[in-house]
Amino acid sequence: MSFQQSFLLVLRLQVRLFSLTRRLMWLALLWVLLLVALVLSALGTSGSDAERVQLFAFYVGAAPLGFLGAFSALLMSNAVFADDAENGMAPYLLSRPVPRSAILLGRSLPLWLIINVPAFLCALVLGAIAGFAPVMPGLLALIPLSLAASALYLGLFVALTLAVKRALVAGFAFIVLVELLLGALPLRIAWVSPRYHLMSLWSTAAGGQDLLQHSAIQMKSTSLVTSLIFVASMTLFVWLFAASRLQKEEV
Amino acid sequence: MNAPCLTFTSVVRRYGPVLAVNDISVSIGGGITGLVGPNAAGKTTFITLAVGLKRPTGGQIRVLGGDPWSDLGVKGQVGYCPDGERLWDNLTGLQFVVTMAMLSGVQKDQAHGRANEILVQLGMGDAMERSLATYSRGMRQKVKVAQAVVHGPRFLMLDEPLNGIDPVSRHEIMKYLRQLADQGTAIVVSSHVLHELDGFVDSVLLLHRGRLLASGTVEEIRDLIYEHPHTVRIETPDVKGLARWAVDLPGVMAVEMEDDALNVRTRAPVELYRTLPAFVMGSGVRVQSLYSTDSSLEAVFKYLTKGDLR
Repeated sequence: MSFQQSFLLVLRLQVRLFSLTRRLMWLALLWVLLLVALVLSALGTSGSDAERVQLFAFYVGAAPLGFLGAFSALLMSNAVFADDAENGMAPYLLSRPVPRSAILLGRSLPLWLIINVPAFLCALVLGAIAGFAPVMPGLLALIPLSLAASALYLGLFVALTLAVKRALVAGFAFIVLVELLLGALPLRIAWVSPRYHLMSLWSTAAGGQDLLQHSAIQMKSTSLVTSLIFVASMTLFVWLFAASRLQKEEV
Repeated sequence: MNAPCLTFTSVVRRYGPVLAVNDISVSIGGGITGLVGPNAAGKTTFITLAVGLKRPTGGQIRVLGGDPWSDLGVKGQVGYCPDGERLWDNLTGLQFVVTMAMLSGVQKDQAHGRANEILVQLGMGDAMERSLATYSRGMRQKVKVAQAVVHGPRFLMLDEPLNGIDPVSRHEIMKYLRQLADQGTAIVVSSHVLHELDGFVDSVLLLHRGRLLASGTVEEIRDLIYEHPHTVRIETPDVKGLARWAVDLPGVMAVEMEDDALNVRTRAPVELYRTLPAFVMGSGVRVQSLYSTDSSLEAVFKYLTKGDLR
């Protein structure tokens, strides 16, 4: 059986399992609530370009969407990988003639889509209401950023799930402390957050820092190259860690 | 003599300071081989090494001539039934087995037919379309066996497939596995109860604390421990009816009744295991599960090793 076939089979199994989980329904509810808040806020703004851009930056670039995205990554990676460890289901997959990388990829991709699809939907709805013209650079820059961010956070939380027992609590603490309260942290500390570097990249891609003036994080001194190296090395680390843990244990 | 399906050469597996498998060298050929030992004997580690879920810390493992860790071709010819009862409860029994068949390389159009056929043979014809969440312990074990054999493996490893299930399910699984063995599939079945493998396996490997303690036929192994008393726990709503039957069995030393279980202490556990299915079928008494308690098996191993278990 080829890698492609194996990957597609694992992917299909994962999608089928996801479509039946209660956790996914709760997550969908949270996304819908965010969407409603977003629409109501957008409809309530007076209409100047500056206000629209601020609104866009707050929702899409800053706390609510990013927080919910990170929380989704945590919740769903925990649902898949921690449940596997606890329920002893991973041996059923790992004992088949399926490459371990196909299992990891096939199980992670639906998670990645679950995080991205509602995020893009929210961004598009906000853009449609606020007007695409003032937010377009940010919206376009958001696409690669969102894809990279969700993959990075997903890897981070999968690695966390495979590394510690109370990963849900630890991950939630990480999101609240490092991500949500990041605005209050001194910049010397803020560089430890992947989101800080991703925002830095977004700011560059969107053509400056204007869009981020009212976001939770103020970009200051981090260079594009530093952020790129940080994000790439972190992605590589979490991928290798997750892959090695999958090989080492019965997870 | 057939070429061995599984060869361990000085295999060691450590978990930190714990030696789960301690310098085991053994070859397993055709037929059914029982892997017997109490909890923490290293049975599950032995099996997970053999199916390539874990890598040995030292030594070499060969399954059907290849390395089970890295050779996907080998994995395609091996069936594995893990310990534990958890399954993807959102799926039906048939969906689960079909999915596992396809992951083993069986084409979609064939997978459904084969899964269906095997589940029917295992007595799951009526239940296969139901959600796994509704399955009893015996039904779960049957589905686990079905997913292990659905791709027609040459070598089958089953981790405690008979643990805690009712006598009828036990009989059906044993009968099915015997058929497979007669058709040429090499099978390894682990259990912490030697007597439940009596009349079922062709040879036995006795493991204790990661070491291979003895190997031979069931009769040879049983002769070693025959005189040692065992406690068999039978869970049933009809404790009194079963107790009346048990006290008359040869070798029974004591019968202890609880609300929903009976503990039978006997010097002839084989007799109990042999005659219980007939009594259950004839009397209509319901038996939910039966097993030899770990403490009695631990005692047997102490007896066998004369207490020298370092």
